[in-house]
Amino acid sequence: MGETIIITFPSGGLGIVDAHPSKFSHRPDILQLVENKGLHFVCLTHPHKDHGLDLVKVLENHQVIDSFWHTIFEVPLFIYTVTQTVNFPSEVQEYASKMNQDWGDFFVDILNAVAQRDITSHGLRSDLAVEVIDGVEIHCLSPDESEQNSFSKAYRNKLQNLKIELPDPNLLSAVLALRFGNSVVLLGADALKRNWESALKLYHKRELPKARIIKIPHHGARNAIDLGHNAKTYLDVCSQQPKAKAVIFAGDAKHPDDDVFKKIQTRSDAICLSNGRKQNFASNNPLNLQLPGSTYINPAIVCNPVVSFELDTDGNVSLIAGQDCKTACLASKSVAP
Amino acid sequence: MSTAIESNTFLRGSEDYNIYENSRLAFYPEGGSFGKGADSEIRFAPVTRKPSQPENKQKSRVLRRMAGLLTEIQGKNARVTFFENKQSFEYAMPAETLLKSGIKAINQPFQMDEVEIQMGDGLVVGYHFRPLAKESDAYTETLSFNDERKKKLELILKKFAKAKT
Repeated sequence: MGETIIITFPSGGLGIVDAHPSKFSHRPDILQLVENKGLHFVCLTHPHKDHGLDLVKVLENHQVIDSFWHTIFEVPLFIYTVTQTVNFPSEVQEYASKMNQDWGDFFVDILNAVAQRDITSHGLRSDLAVEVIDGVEIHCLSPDESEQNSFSKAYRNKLQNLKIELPDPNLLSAVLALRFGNSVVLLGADALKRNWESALKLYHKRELPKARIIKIPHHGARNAIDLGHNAKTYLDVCSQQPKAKAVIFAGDAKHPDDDVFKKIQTRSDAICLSNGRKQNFASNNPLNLQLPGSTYINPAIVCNPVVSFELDTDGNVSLIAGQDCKTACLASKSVAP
Repeated sequence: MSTAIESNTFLRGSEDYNIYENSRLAFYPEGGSFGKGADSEIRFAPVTRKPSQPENKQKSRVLRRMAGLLTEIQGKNARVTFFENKQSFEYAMPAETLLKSGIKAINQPFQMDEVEIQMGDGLVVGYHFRPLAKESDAYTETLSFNDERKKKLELILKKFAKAKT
C-alpha cells in the first residue's frame, strides 16, 4: 500500500502526490481532505495502483484541478502492455486473472478521468524546467531520459513477444524536490538505487540546499539505497544540523528493511506513519507456516495516522501532527493497525 | 539451521511420488527458532507424537497441500500469494526457495506441500515446492473490460494518441 501526501502552498492551494485509501479509516475520505481547495496538481509518482487508487476519485470528482502529473509516457503503448498479461494454466489461474484485471481497471479509470475532463496531462522527467507554484520551486529529479528510453524499448519488445516482462515500474518513480527558500522537501516515491544515482547528481547540480524533510523512498526497502560504506545515498542530501525529518511509510510487515531503518535512524529524525518492524498483534502467520525465512505480509502497525509539517523559507520545520519514531512506536502497541 | 534435500526424496503418505530433481525441501532437524529480531519469530521443535502410521510403512507424509502464485521477485526476496478456502494470504520468502524449484515467473502457479518427515526418533516438518505450470506454459491473456471500461479505453486512446506525454 502507498501513502497519501498533500502539500498546502502559501496561498492555500493544494498539490497531491499519490493517494491510497486508508484501509482502517485513519484519515477522512480524500474528497473531504481536498474539499473547496484548488488543486495545482494531482501527481501519480509511478504506475502502481497502490500509489494512485484514491487519485481516481479526486480526478473524477474534484472541481478545480490544474494538471495531472505522471510518468506514464507513450500512453497508448503503455495501455497495450497493461492489457496483454501473462498467465499460466492451473487451478489458481483465475486469481492471477483477477489481479491482472484489477491492475488494468485502475489504469483505465485513472487515465479516463483525465481524458474525460480534459485535465492537462503533464509527463514528468528529470530534464524538465523547474515548475514554480506560489514561490515554491518544484524540481523533478527522476526519472531521467535513459530510464524512460529503457521502458520505451521494453514496450516495443513486448509488441514482438508478449511474454517479455517489463522493467520494475518503480524505476519510473518521480522524485520531487520542493524548494521554499532555504527549505527543501524531498519526496522519494518508490525510487530505486538506479534512480538515486542520477537524482543525487541533479540535486547537487541544481545547488539545492540540504533537505529538511524526506519521504523515505520505497517504504525503506533495501533496493532503494546502497548500504555500502562510502556509497552515496538519498540521506547524503538531507540536513545534519539540525537532522532532517525522515517520514517512513512501511505499508506492510516487510518494511522498512532492518539495516535501512538503522541507517535512517542514525542520520535523521525518523517519523513513522507505519512501521513493519514493530510487532503486530494481528495474526503473524495465519497459515502457520514453519518455512525458514517466510513472513506473512501483514499490514504494518500504524504509528502516526497523520504526520504534518510546516516549513518557512529559512529552513525551520515545525511538526504540526505526529510524534517521532520512539514515542509513537512505543505508543503504537495500543493502536489498531 | 536449515537443510535442503535437493533431489529424489521419496515421500510416502496417502500417495507416493518422486520429487522432481529440482525440487527443494527445507526443514529443521533440531528444535530451535528463527526470525529472531525480525518482525516475527517462529519457534519449532521436533514433533514428539507418534507417526500417524506404523514406522515401517511411512517415513514422510503430506500434512497439507496449498496452491500459490509467485507475485514478485526482487533480488533475494520473493512474494507469493497462497489461496485457501477462497481467501488469499501474502507471504514473503527467500527467492532461492522458489527459483531452485523452477518457480521463476510472475504469476507462475505452484504447489507447496507441508510434509512430516521421520528423522530418527522424532518427526520434523518440511516444505516441498513444485511448479504447477512450467515457465514455457505461459500464455497471453488479454484483459476483458466491461462495456463501460471499453468506452473509457476508446477515449483514452483517442485523447492520448494526439498528445505525446
